[in-house]
Amino acid sequence: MQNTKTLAIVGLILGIVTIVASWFWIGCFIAIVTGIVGIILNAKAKKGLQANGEKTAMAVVGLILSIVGLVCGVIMSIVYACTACAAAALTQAASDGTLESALNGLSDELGSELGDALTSALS
Amino acid sequence: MFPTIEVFGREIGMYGICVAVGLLLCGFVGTLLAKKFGIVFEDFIIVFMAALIGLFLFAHIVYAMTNIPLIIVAFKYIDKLWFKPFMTLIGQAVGGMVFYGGFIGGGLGIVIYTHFSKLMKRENVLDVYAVLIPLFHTFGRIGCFLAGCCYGIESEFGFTVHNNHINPSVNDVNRLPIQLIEAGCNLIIFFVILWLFKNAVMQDRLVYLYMLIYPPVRFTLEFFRGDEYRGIYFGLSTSQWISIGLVIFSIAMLIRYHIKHKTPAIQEERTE
Repeated sequence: MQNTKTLAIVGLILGIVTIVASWFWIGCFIAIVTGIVGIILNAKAKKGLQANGEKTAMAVVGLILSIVGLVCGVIMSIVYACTACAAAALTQAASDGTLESALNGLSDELGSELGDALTSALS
Repeated sequence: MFPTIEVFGREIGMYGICVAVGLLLCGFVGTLLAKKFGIVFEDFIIVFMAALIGLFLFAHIVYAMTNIPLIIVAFKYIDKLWFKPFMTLIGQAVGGMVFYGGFIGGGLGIVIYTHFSKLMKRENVLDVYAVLIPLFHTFGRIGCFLAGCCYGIESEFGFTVHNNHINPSVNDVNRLPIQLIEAGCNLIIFFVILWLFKNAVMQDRLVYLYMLIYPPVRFTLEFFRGDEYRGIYFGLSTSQWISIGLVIFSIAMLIRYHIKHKTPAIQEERTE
């Protein structure tokens, strides 16, 4: 019984962390992990509390927060990761020997910091 | 089309929104379908998370497998690119997702979870999975259309996209809306498998049936894809090779099921 309550508290905390983290760079990827763990813990806690005849409000709130946070984390992480086409184009260039021009092309997209690093790498 | 929208001052990708909507809808529909097997909401959501973990992991792993030269370059120049440029390159090399990787990973997640959990039968969960996968994929492909990725060949029939800054290679060419065509095919597959599920046709084998239906559709549609950078090996794309593999696998599993579950009439004849 005590374990189930602890599970619900941890799940609620994870739900809150997920919601907050999901809005930020790096945080959104962390939110995916904490969201999934939070959902699992809250689901187990809800089932355990129900079986013991106790109130499940904390677990339900934690579950909702985890689900919402996970959804936000998924959306935001795809925003940050959505440069797949540039990477794929680079792969093709790397394969056919036009690597130098491909890397320079990437630096144009990503800005001067990577451009400097890539220029240094090619020199 | 509409790759992004602005929400509270932040640019949000439509692809991410479509994926999120698809996941939520699959969770809702899956909860209803799982009741047929006596699986409660809490147990279903845990196995759903197991499938989600496998889906995301393997979708990225298979994507990374198509970008190995980029990963090699990133590690080759790691001393000059450390830290943010290196992480940016690696992020781009593994940041995309491949549907087949996700499908295989999701299935593996279910198999592994049900191996350790005795609360539900693996075949029942895989049947529910077979219904949900084409539903999720429908939304994924709509997201691809909005984002401008996975685009079709140049065609008189279709749409011309302009000013797509996420996938600029799609711009200014009239293209076949292959993403919407595939979304439509997935929706039809969803309704077919849902009907079979509800009428208990091919119970315990629906995921293998899905592997017989979708891969040939995907194999055909791949010839109408215009994004050449997705990897071509011996004339076929990565997804076409995987399609062939999945069909062979599903035939093998269906034969195995048939041998394992011979009809009672045949079994009675043998005992006489």
